[in-house]
Amino acid sequence: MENEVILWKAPQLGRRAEQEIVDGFDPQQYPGNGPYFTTVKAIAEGFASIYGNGLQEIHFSRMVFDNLVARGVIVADTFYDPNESYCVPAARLTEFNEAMKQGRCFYEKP
Amino acid sequence: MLLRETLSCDMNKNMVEIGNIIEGTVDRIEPYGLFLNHAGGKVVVLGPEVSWHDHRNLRDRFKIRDVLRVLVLRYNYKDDVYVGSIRRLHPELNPYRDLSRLRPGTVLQGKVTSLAGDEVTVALPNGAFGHVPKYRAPSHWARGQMVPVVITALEVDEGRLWLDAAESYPNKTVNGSTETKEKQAAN
Repeated sequence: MENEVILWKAPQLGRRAEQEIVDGFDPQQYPGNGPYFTTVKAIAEGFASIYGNGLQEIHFSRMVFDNLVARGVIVADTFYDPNESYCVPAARLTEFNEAMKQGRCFYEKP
Repeated sequence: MLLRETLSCDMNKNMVEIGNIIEGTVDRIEPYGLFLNHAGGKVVVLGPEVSWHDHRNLRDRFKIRDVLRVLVLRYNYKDDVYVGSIRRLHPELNPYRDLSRLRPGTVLQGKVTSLAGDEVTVALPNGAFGHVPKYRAPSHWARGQMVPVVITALEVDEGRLWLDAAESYPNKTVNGSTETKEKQAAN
């Protein structure tokens, strides 16, 4: 099993994508189910080709990622195959943002 | 209760089945996808599943009350919504299908569009894109550069493509002839 999990996100046009990678995701900007992420770069790129606002990339250690899933901070989704799609409910974004600071985060411009 | 009895109790004539082609009426358009109504049930077609080639904003391409045919892919239990695809109803437009007809080892020229993560993304001229694991990609590859690649795996309907750098690949086909590692070594 890989020691690292990469979460990808294609930010929609108008989002402050580069800033989100530094400051975290604002719960007020992502109400309800919160932001969606995928572990598959190709899926994120499919959305990025529509939004045209680059790619966000968040690296977690497997241990941190599994812990966030176990605590319900990261919630598995079934818009894609199992283990490919996740969301972070707005109510848990503060914890997610804290965990992001332990990981490595990048933003690739379009 | 046995599964068969449970199923017969729960079966509904209007029930959508995975793999069915249904008609739905667009009732919401979001940047990330189209929401349709089918017999009172919700169906979402996420942006990338709308079209193989047209990546324009969905609000410029569709309007509320449009009636669309959708292939049902799966059911999202968490959100109580069916997930569908429009592009898969048009296999003749699928650029990955064209690739599946190529002889294995055919060298293709593609453009590096992303170096993010542990994969290099390469876009091919026909609209398909795939990934070369970074450890297989030459270190001089840069964004915007045209690079030679070969297919290592392909999921046509999913539109997923795995590539290798042609120079790292043992059996590539150049101009119809197969070039083996031995032959490369001899050259």
